[in-house]
Amino acid sequence: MTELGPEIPPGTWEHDWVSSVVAKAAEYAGRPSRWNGKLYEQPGPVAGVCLPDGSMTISREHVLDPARAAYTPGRTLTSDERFAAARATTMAVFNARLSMSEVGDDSVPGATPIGSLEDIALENARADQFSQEYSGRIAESMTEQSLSLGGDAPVFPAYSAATDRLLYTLGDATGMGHDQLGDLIDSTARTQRFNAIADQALDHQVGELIPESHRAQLREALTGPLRRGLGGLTMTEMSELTHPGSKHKWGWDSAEWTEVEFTTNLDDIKKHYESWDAEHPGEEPPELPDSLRERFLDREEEIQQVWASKGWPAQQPVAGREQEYYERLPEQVYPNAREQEIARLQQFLWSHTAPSKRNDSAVDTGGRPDNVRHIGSARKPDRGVE
Amino acid sequence: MDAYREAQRLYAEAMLSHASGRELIAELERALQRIGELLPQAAPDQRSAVLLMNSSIAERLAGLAEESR
Repeated sequence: MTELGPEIPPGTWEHDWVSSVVAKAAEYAGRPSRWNGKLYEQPGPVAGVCLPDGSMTISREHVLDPARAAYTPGRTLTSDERFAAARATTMAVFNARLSMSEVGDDSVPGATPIGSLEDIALENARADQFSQEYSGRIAESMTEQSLSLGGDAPVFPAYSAATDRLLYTLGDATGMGHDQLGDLIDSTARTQRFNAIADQALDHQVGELIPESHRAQLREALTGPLRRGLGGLTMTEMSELTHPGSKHKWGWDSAEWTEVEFTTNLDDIKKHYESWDAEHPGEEPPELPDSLRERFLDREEEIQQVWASKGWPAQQPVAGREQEYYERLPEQVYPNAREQEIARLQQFLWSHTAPSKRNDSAVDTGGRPDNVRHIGSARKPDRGVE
Repeated sequence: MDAYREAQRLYAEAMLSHASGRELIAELERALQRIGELLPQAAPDQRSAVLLMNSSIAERLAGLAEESR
């Protein structure tokens, strides 16, 4: 299933067309593609793939052949051909956008693991948004034909909606507008994107008051909400009973609470450093106190409570509390298929992604995600999602 | 169940898989195959989305193949 088809050599119509799409996409994105110019046919029901060595595959059946008529001068297109060419262009642009992302090294501490839910969510959301926004313009620049671009179903409605909203709502925290923040994400290696957002917010809000030795800990308080907010939406994308339009809405709502958690954690961090600086000017500040880190955990649980009250737990459970919560679920009686599905998805998500099940770089040696640390105070027994 | 929703479910299920090594590769290949089988049943304006879901799975498979070298 992963084998390559025949190479498509330079100088052919197919290679020229893909090269033009990639060049136009790079022009609109303002950054180069990492495509090395090697192109292969993609067998099977797959649009195309950006391979780790920099080469690309593209489907002849699903992309090249349907596109060709619209990009051949002098052709008169039927409405079906026009429609097929538009879809083919969107897929080629999506792939071209993916070819611009640097992967990065996910073995360094604090890196986002490649292939983690949050990495997949953010990367696909950005490619989705790019292809929706630019496919029409790229087609216009390459053919005289008027293709019916726009109005496609998003590939990932929940991921895309959440990411798009976050780009707006994190504006105050980061001091960047929607497009600037999008550029920051796109120009950063996938493994460092959440850290880049956190760094931008920290630098914008607290700047020189933070000793560099504190940065890793502070990043965790800010990347945690982003990772949970986006990664947790995989369960929404997975739902059989949720209409794509509703998935869009869940993504949109999830981003609201992600932003709340992110900015309130940031405000607490800011207060800690500013109050220390006001009282002890010129002295190096201490790290965040345990009481503040405990407050971050409280907040994480509060956000989950909000989701529970809405009837859709989009986020993963707080570390250390998930077992008893999910073991209780099968004993309940569900009034309808919707409730049953939610319970099933909760159990599935937990069984696959609970901190104790993960062994990637986002989890420390104690089995906790790296945004959660043991702290001195005892847990409150009556908190959590009920 | 419409084909687009079923493809999305299969996609997410595959991506959530906690299998590793050959088992993960087999799971991803199965999902890719099943999503491909749904393609003819998907509405025309949803087929590109279905194909791109499979592209995402195929990219993951390519990454796993690279890691195992």
